[in-house]
Amino acid sequence: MPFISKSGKSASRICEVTVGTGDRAVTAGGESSLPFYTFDGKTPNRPRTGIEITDGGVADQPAVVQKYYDGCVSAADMARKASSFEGVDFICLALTGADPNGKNRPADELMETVRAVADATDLPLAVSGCDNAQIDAGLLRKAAQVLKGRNALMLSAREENYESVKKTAAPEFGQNIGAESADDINLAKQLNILLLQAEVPENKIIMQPGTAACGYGFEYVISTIDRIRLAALQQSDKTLQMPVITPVAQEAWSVREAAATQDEMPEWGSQEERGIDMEVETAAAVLAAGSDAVILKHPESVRTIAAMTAALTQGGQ
Amino acid sequence: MYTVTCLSPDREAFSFRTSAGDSMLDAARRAGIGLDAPCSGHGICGKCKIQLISGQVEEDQRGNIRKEEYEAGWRLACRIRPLSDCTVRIPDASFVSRENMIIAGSQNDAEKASFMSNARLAGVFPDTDLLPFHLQLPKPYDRDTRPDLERLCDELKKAFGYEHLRVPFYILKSLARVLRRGDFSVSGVLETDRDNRAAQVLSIWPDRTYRRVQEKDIRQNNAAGREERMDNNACFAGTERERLAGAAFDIGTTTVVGILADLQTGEILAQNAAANAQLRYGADVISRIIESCREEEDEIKDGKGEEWDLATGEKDGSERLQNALIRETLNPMIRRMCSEAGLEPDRISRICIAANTTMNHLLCGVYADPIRLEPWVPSFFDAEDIRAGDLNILSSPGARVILSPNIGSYVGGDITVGTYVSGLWDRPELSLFIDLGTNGEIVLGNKEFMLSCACSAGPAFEGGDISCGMRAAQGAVDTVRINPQTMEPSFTVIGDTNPAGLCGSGMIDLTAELFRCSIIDRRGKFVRSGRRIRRDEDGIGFYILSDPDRPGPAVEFSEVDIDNFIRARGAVFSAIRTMLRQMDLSADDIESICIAGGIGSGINIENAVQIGMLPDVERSRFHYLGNTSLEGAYRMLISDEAVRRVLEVSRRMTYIELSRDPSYMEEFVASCFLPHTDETLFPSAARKKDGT
Repeated sequence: MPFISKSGKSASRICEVTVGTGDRAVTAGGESSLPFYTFDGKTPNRPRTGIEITDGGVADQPAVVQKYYDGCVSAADMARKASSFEGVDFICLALTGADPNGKNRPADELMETVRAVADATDLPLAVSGCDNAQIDAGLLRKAAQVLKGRNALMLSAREENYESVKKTAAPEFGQNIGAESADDINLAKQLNILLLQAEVPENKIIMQPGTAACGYGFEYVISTIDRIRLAALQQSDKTLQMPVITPVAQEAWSVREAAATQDEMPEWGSQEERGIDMEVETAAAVLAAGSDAVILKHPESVRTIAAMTAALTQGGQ
Repeated sequence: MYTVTCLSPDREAFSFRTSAGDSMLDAARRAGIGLDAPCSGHGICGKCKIQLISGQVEEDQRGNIRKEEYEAGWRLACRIRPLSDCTVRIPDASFVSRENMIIAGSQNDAEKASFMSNARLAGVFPDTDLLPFHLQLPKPYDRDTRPDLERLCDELKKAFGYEHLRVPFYILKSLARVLRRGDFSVSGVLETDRDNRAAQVLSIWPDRTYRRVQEKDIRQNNAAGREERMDNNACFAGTERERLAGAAFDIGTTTVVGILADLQTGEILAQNAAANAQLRYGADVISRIIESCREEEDEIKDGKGEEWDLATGEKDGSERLQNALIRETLNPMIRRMCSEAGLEPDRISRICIAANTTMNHLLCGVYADPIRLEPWVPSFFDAEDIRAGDLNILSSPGARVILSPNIGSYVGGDITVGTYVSGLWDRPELSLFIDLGTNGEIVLGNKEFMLSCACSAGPAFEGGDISCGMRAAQGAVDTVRINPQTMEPSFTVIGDTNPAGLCGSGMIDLTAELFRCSIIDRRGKFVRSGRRIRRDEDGIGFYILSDPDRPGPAVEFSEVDIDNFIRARGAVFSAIRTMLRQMDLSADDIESICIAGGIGSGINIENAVQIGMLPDVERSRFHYLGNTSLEGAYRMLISDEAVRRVLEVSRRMTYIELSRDPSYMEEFVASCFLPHTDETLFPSAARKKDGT
C-alpha cells in the first residue's frame, strides 16, 4: 500500500512580533505550519533563544554557570559577556531581587540595574519580575520607562495585573507584552482578549501560557501549547495567533535533577551535565509543541538549542 | 440573662432573652426569630447583619462588614454575644420569614387557575384511588352485638362490594369513640385497589352533618322495627359534600412552597410558602448532609459505635434535619393552609412532594451520607408506600406520601415532575429544560431520549454567595437598567419598598447592564469610575445600586460577587454545552428551551443570553414556566395517571455525572468570561456590544 502523506497546510499564520531595535532586533512567530513542519508551510523565523541573567549578578547563578562569566560581577557585566555567547538572540533580565520574601530590593535600585544592562548590550531585552503580580506590575512599568525606545519584552501581564502592565505597550513606551496564564487554553485566550480589547496591538503580544521542568507537571504545559497552536492554525482563532514564549531557565534549574551538587548525589554524575540536559530537554519539548522562543540559563544549553532550531528550520533565518 | 430589644423598620418592637455564652443569632433563633444565616452562623455569609444601637457585646471578629458600616454599629449577629441588655435594629433583609417569600407560579388567583387549566390542557383530570364515604351504620342493640370493627367492615363491604377491607391500627384505636360520637354515622376516606376488589380505610370521622339531615328517616326506620340498614344509594345522601383534600409541596433547599387542593375537583383551596427551616444547618445540600450525619460520626469516635443504630438513634443529626423540615416547615404550612380553607388537617388524605434527592432523603430521615461521597449513590430513587404517620406529617396518618422519583444523586424528583410538566418527554422536537434554584438542573431530550445532569451552580441564583444577594422576597431588586452615559441605575423592587438586596433575576440584569455599559470588562472587573463605583481598602471594586447618599447598608455588587455570579451562570452554560456535545448536537438544534424556577418574577431572557448564561438562539424558542416543581406535584396529587407518567419519565431518563466528563472543566473555564471565551457562540452579544 502506498504511503499518502496528509497535508497539514494551514491558511492561517502566527503573528510576527519583533523585539529589540536595529540590526540585532529579532522576530518571533510568522509560521503557517506546526512546529518544524517546514514541508507544510513557511517558518520565516526560527524559534528564538534568550539567556537569563538576574539583578543579583553572577552571585545568583549556580556554580556550574558562574565559570562562563569569568571576570563578571554585576548583571551589566554578565549582559556584556552573554552578548558574545553563541546562539543568544536576546537577554532576559529577571528582577528576582524584588521579591518581598527575598532580598526585597527597592524598585529604584533595580531600575539602575535595568539601565546598566541596557547600556551594556545592544541585544534585544526582556525584563521579568519576581512572580508577585502586584510588585511586578510596578516594576515593569518603571522598566518600560527606563527602556523607552528599546522595544523590549515585558514579562509578563497576568489576569491580576494586566490593566497596569498593558500601559507598557502604549506608544509612549512602545514595549511588547508577555501574556502569562497557567496551563489552560481558555485562560490564555481570555487574557489575550482582554489585552486586545485594551488596545494592545496583536503584534505586541507574546503568550506565556505556562512553564514547568520536564517531568514536573510538564504534560499540562505541552498539551496547552499544543492546543493553542492547533486552534491558531487549524481553527484560525485570531485570539490565539500570537507567538509563544516559554521561560525554561528558572524551572529547569530549580528541580533536584539540576540543583543537587555532585557531592550530594555522587551516583548521578556531573551536575553541569545534568543541568544542561534538564534545560535542553525541557526546551526541546516545548519548542516541538509550538513555542516560538525559550529563555535558558546555561550558555551551553543556549548553543545547543539554537543549533537544533537552526537545523530543523533550515530555510529559516 | 440579658434582654435584647429589637426594632425593625416595618414591625413592632419586640424583645427576647439571651443565655450566657449565646451568640445573638443563637438567642434570636431560640426565641423563634428567624434570622437568615445560610452559613450556619460561622461568620462567612454576612446575611445576619444587625445594627447595634445600645448595649455591650463581646465580639469575635468583624466578619465581612465594611469599615464605615462597622462604625455605624453594623455587626453580624452570629459573631457577637451580649454582655448587657441591648437594643438592636434588624433590617428586613436579615429576616427569614414567610411573609417575605415570593411564591413563583402560584401567587394570585389567575396563577392558581393556571395550574388547573394547564392540567386540563395536558389531559390531566382529577382521578385518584381515593373514595370518600358517608355511612349510617346500624346501631348495636340486643340482637346485633357485632363489634365496631366488624360492623364497619360489613357495612362498607355491603355498600361498595369489596371482598377485602384493611383497617389500619390507628383507625381501630379511635373507632369506638368515632362511631359513638357521631351516633354511628361516619364519614371517611377509602383507598381502593386498582381492580376495586379491596380497599383500605384511610380515615374516619363522626359525621354530624349527615346525621342531622337523616335523623328523621332513621327514626322512622327504627320505629318500624325494620332491620337498620342503609341501602347503597343512601351512602352519599349527605347534603354538604365533604371535601377530599390533599397537599402538594415543592421542597427546595432554600424555599418550600405548598398548596392545598380538592382532589375531586382539582380546585386549589389554599397556598403557602416558607423558608426551609433546615437553612440554619447550611445553605447547600452538602452541608445539610454533613450536618445530618454529624452526631453519628462523633459516636463512632467515642467508641460508643457498636450499638449505634441509624434507624432508631435518638437525637441524631438526621432526626434534627427531619424535624426542621417536617415539624418546623411543613406542618406549620399545613396548619396555615387548613385554617385558610376551613379544613381539619386530618382530612388531608394524600400528600405529594417534589424535592431534590437530598431533601427526599432528609425528609424520610434516611442516612444520606453516600449521596455526597464518591460514587454518589443515593439510598433510593423511588420510595413506595410511605404514610404521613411514618413521617409525622400533620394529616390523616394513613395519607399516602407520594415522592416524585429521583433520577440521580443530584437530579431529584423536582426535575422529574418539571420535565413532566414541560411536556418535553412527549414531544418529537428536541427541547431543553432548565431549572434554576440552588444549583441548576438540566434535561435535554424529546420523546425518544432524555438526558439529565446537575450543574454545581451553587446558591447564587437564590442569593447565596453574593454579599447583597437575597431570595426573591420583598425588598429584592428584580430588574435593573443602567444609563450608559451617567451609569445611574433604574430598577424595580419586589413589593415596591426600599431595595434590600438583589435576587437572581436582578443579578442577571445588573451583570448584563454593567457589561453592556462597559463598566466591567469581560472578566467582571470594573474598568470605569464614577459616583456609583467605589473601591474598598483591598482595592475590590463595587457598584452601588441603592442611593449612595442614603444612610444604612447599601445594596452593592462587588467584583467578588460578580465573580461568583459569573461562575454560577458559567456552570449552567457549560453543562448545556457538555450535554449537547455528548449527543453531538449544537444549540441551534434545540427547538424549545423551557426555564423553570423561582429566581424572580421571571428572568430577562435577552440579558441572560447577553451574559452567556443561555445559548444564543432565537428568543422565541425560550419559554418561562415558573415553578414546575409545585405544578408537577399538584398534578400528581390530583391524578394517579400523572403519578404513573412521572414514574415513566424518571425511568426513561439517563443521568449524566458531569464531574466524570473530562471536558466539563474546560467548558467551565471557557464559560467564566463575558459572554464566553469563544465569542462565536454569542453572535448577537457581539452585535449588541458594537451597537452601543
